[in-house]
Amino acid sequence: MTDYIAPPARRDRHAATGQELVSFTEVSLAYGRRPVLSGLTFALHQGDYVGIVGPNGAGKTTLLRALLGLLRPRSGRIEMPCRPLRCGYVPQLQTVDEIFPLTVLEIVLMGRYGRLGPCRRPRPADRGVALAALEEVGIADLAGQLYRDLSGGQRQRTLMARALACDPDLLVLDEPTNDMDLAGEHATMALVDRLQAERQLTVVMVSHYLNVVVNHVRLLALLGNGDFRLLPTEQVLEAGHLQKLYGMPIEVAEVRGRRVVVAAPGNGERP
Amino acid sequence: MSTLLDTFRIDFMRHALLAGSLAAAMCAYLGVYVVLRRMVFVGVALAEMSSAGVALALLLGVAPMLGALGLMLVGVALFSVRWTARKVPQDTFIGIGYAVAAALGILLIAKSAKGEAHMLELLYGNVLTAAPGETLQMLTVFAGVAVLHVLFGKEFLLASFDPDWGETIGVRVRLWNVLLYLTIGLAIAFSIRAMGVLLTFAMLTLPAAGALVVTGRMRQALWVSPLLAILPIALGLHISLVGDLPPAAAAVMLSFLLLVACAAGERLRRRA
Repeated sequence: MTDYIAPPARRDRHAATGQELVSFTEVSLAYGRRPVLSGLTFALHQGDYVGIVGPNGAGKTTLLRALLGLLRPRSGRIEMPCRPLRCGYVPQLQTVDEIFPLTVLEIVLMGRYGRLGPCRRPRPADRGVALAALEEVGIADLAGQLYRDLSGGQRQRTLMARALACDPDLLVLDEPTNDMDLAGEHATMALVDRLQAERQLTVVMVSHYLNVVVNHVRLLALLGNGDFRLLPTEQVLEAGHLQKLYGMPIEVAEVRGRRVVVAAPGNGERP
Repeated sequence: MSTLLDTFRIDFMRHALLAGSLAAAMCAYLGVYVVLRRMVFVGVALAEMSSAGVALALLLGVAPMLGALGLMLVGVALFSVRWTARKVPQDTFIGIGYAVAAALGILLIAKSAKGEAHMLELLYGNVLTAAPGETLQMLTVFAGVAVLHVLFGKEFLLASFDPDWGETIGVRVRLWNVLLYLTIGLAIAFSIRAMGVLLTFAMLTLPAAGALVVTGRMRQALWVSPLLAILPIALGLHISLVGDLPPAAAAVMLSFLLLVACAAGERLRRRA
């Protein structure tokens, strides 16, 4: 049984709600000479809950990498007024190599490495923070298990705990519900909602599952239609942006209070 | 019938055991990273480049170790960078490095008057002829490598397991990656001199595989792997003396048998 240790209290270094955390101005991104995205202008504020949706290959992960500082812009400016901005990154599950025989706790402790610096091993206090993060995502009982023996949902929670262990200003999730069944998808999104609300975290999530994202985020941007704008979710769903992005008629229905985005049948198609 | 103890009462065998165990243990420790990072062929390419460096040194008339270290550094510089070429995958560069180094070694040896015998020694290894001065040099370098791994183990782990996360939290992943490659390159360059390319490559892969199978944990594997390397070295030396066999090949076969035993034991343990 693990003792519950409360997550670290929000300290002064965190920005106040609504304060600008990061801004992109006319940013173009490229891999080598291959341009991927251009003309990106938007700002993220403390407490924002943002979804970035687009079809496969639209450049969602590229945008995330720029946001995390892993990819330098080819042109334009990325500014972070609240430097140093601490990012908690939850990558796509497939990108984490499960061949390494590491326990859940060992992986979550990696969330503390940035603070420790070289030559210093994690201290009991770091272990406490890691265990608290595991408690927060509901898998404290799996601390000693091997990561590779976990289910997809449990792995996702492990990576979320690692991100939380660094006490982030910004939580960035890349396709958090990829390859999950309905129950896993629901549980993962409920967890992200809770973390966002409880910690007042700024959350940015990219996904190609529009139906998953639209029921959770408050701001939405569509990537892939050449018109990247961060707008309130309702506004994006209502203004015909989806038709433009997917090149087909799209309907947004509501079922038991939840939005469902479906392709509308075209002429001659059976409904 | 000569016993293991009798074998190591002989001076040069005792010295061979020390040199071989040192080299094997170092390679086996680093082998855990080599195996988990799926860079086994980086190991063999670096080994081949070190060999080519020795050949170059023989031709130029300079100390063989200088040549080995020089080309090893070229290999580290080439392989530790993430190449962004889109038309060929990263491991192609490793294959190219291996093939070019092997060919270069053969060409250089062909032009070297005293090279052929040395080339054979490099390929098949002769731990029996390791000089005490060389062993002391190796011990010094390996002590440095060990200190680096004790101090920066978590950085090497992070750079290996999830470099993107490392960069996100401000860890200089590229630096640690190069340093890790450098320690592997140093271990290979000095181990080749002590026990040849074949045994060096074997010690980078077989004990680490056995340790990972038996322990199933990264931390434990890092300590068990050197132990699994020393045992076949000792037995291999003994068998080579008793059976008049090449020690490197004998040690490799014993190491393989040990790996099979580890896998079988683990299977039985899981069934029980």
